Amino acid sequence: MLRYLASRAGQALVVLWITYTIVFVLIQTLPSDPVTIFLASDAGADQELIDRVSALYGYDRPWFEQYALQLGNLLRGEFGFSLSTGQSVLERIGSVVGSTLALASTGLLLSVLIAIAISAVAFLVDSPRLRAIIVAAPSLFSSIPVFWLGIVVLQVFSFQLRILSLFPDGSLLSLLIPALVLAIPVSAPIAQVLLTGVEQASELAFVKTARAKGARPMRVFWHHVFRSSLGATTAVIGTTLGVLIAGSVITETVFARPGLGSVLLRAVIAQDVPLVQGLVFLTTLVVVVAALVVDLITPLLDPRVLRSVGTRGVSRLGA
Amino acid sequence: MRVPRGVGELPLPGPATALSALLVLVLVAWLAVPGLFTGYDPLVGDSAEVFLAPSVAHPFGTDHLGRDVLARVIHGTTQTALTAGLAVLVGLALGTAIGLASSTLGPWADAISMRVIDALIALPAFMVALFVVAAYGAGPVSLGVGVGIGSIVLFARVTRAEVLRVRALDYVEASKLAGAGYFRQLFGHILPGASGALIALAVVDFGAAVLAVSALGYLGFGTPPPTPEWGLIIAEGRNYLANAWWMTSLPGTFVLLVVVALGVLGRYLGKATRA
Amino acid sequence: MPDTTTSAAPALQLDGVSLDYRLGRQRVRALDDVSFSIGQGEIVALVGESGSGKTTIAGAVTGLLPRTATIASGRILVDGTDVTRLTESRWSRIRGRKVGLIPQDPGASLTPVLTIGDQVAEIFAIRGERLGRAERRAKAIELLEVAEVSRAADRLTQYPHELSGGLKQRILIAIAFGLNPALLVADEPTSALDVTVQKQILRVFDRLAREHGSSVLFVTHDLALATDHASRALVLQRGRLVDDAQVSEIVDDARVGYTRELIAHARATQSALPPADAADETDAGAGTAPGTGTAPPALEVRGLTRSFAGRRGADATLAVDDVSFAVPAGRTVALVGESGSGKSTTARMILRLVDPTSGEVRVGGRDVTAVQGRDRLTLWRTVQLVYQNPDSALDPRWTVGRIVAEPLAAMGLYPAGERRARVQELLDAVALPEGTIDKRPGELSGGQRQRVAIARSLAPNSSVVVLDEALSALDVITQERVLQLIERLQRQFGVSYLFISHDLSTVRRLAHHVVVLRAGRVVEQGSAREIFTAPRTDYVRELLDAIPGHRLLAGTGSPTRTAPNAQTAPTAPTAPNAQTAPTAQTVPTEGASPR
Repeated sequence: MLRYLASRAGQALVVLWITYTIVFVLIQTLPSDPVTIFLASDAGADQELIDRVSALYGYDRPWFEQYALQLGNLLRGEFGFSLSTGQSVLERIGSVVGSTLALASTGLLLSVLIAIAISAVAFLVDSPRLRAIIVAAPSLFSSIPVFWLGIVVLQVFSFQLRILSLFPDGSLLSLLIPALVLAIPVSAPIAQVLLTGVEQASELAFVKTARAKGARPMRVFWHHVFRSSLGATTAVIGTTLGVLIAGSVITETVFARPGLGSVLLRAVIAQDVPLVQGLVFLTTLVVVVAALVVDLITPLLDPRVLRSVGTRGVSRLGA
Repeated sequence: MRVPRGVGELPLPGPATALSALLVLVLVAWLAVPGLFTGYDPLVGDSAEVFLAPSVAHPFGTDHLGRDVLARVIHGTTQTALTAGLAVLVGLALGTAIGLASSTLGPWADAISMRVIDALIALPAFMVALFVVAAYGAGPVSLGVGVGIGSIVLFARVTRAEVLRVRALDYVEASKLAGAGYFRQLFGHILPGASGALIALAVVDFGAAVLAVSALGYLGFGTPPPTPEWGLIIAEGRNYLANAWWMTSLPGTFVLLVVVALGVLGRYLGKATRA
Repeated sequence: MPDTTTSAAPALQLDGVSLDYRLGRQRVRALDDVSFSIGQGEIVALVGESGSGKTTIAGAVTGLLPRTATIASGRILVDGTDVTRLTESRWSRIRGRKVGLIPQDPGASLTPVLTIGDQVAEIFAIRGERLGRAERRAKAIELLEVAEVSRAADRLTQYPHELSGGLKQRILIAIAFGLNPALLVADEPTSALDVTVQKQILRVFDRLAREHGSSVLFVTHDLALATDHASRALVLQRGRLVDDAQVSEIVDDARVGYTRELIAHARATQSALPPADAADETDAGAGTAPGTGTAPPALEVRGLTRSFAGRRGADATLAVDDVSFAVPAGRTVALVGESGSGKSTTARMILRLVDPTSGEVRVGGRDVTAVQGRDRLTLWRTVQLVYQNPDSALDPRWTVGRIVAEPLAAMGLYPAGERRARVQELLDAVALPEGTIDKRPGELSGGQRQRVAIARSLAPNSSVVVLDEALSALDVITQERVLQLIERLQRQFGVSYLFISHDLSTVRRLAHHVVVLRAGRVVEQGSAREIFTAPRTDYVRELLDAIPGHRLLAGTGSPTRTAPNAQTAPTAPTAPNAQTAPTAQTVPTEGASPR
């Protein structure tokens, strides 16, 4: 187990290092440096100002020095400084990140609940027609443009029903409704994994054994079908974080919530590359840490996983 | 209960697949000759016809400048589809290159490619797209490339998995025993065997790219305003939610249908070529 | 114990059951007007080939059919209760109490993420028994011990993937009998297991069924197994019940044609004397005396060894350990062993797909142990392989013509213009119908696909063909026809076969010489006659003993009557030098020294 832990943590560090390198290479392919790009739109900026700021951010040095310098900063927990405000990335988002976290975690929780509900109903329902509709839900959910869904929800709840204020007012409803919008696309991949388990259930030999014992459908679902999909489900929840972050940014914009989204979008519009770069690292770090946590949890949920240490990837049901 | 079925022939498509194919054909036609499908100008409106609700003359209604919304959607196909197409192309080209390198060039190439794939999985696709837009400025090309980088990892993984799957099949070894050299095996058996899944993925990914491109277009990172683009059309309607629901609802439903259709079609192709 | 005395209703009764599967918009009839009943305490076998509908019947009487199945007409009664149209939740009250199941594939039939203890104890929860922790544990151990599960207490905390297939099947048997249903359905319970394990499992099963007085529906494709374990047999063919008779009647004098055909086939493979002629006995050991002046054997291996490095510093394991044998020209040598015995690794070393750790491979007297890369082409012109599964051995995108021509094209054997004619000649030789050349594998039956694979293996005029379990994926009747084809091709072209199989009954039909492998080592080899009539080792005796069908053979029907090669058989036992043939045990071990 210790060896497993160490190997996974080591892999996570390597992944972070490579992502850093990929982003660094992307910046190097720019026709000029980020400072020039940022100040290009500013009529008052002269070459002297550009040079001074470049020197401050280290963009005047040769690429390998920049590479080492920025990597060193990252290792000290410095994600970079904004060109527009001069604040560090963490300072910049510190005041608003709580709102984003609340939205994202509520959204994730709701998406898991939606996914479980879909798979349970699909397993228990007898009518083939109803089941076909339920089974199709995830692929519909993953095709919905979140920004549009947000607008439609806003239209219905704010303009038609008038139960939701157009701007967040701190009420539970103003958190739950955006979170639900966010949860719809995020639930799709989770539900898909659970549904795969359910769809296979009629063919899977161990489900047959459970049914042959005389177990009630509810028991068969929770103790056998759901329980054996749990490892794969946890793994897929880890990979939905990217979708969750994207969805949060868009949902925040649509519902005019302050948060990571507003900071990020302003930075993109201003072409504040160092700030955007810092936010990319920060979110990557979150994804990698989440994946690490998932990797540590799955062996507890699925005893088959530890056997395949080193051969990346969790073996799916009975496969 | 074995049902023998030739792999050359596709299984009979269901009604959902047929409708999806029809919708995609319509899109292709709109892309090629948008002028044939609408008489209205997508850019210049009639100030006497602002905020008209959907009718036979204007199925999607008109907007705040009196432009026909359907005409804007039809003409917007060009921007959205070409940008999404660029994204798929970037993902397909780089992704299959990485996947092929990892699965055919030996253990070292595989180890390195796998680490790169792991890193690409960790980078949130949406953040990368925004990063590219920030660095290169808004516009369809940086948008397409930015979104495309996000799908590299999908193509790389599927290519690698498919090549490994097909290569392990007895018929590839049989071909080796029949005297076929490496390239004969690769081009005669392995790549044709793997291509079905890639084509299916490209279709599904095109749908995902349409979704991402229109989301970024909605945020204002696509083409600048007068030119129609699906995300932008919806964004323009956001200010008129109270009095013109059709400006957002109908184009949005349309985008949803397109993405669903591409998904259905891709899954059908995947199933059909997988056998 | 179910009280068999008071219950008057039969344990199972089917009245005119017809059943369809939905396939897209089509309906396919899987069962057609099937009627039979099983009395309390009766053990009845249900026999049929794959696709005959026997698994469908097993599913229908346990309510475990796929959702695409619908019972079109008829009635099913389990222990007096009509179960024809029950909802899943009603079914769950019948299952376990009235009808139980011993599944087909023990490997996948236990929930992988739950411990054995959880899965055994689940039956107490289902029955609504409220037991304390210690009590539950004690009862679970007791159930496992009754089914002869070794170290029962330790098993409770283990997960299924930590156990062997045989153990898992014992656990499943323990669970099924633990519920004590009136009727037990055993659906091919041992088809995934090795013969020796199969025998032990069925002994436990027979004992428990007797002790519990259970009625049993024993589903199997193996008539020999059916006659050994059941008192009555139902024979199913393409969804119709064609025979329903006491096993003793079937064995002595089957009235139904199809049953007779099955019996004849079973007897032929069980009792056929090995192919033999005068030359056989002297040739069989040719490989053991290399360089004695006679023509070199078509294929010979000496001291072949292959070790696989253990994971993370574990000891290396010997998959194949010092194996030597020879295949004389125009003869068939069988490589026999249970799964994991090293048969396939040996074959792959011969074809130089796997590098031997030590030892040598000779083809037509030439040492090919060291050939590498493209040099192996000359080897593959002479030695070819036919795979177990014809479905995966043929590229589904290619036409049959292109598949069979691949060796010709890749090896540049025939001028491009003559290849099609050569392919047609080969397809004729394997008796494929006209027009097959332009079809794709998907349009052919399993047997036809295997014929295509055989044609491909002969295409480069190869003289040795390795048949790697080449018959095991086929139905019995198809198996028989392909078997005959293989025999004919040998007579016609003089090819030598290395026939790799776990199935002793087909080996008995085909092989002149038999090599028995166990855990990578040769335990015994000799002429087929010696191995089958006078095995020298306990292991081989055990293997032979485990072949089902003792009752079939004990029947009054003459064993050789239906054997296709019966003409040559009577002369064989009198071969004078049968005893003197040297065997592998005396193979000189030169060049076999381990590293």
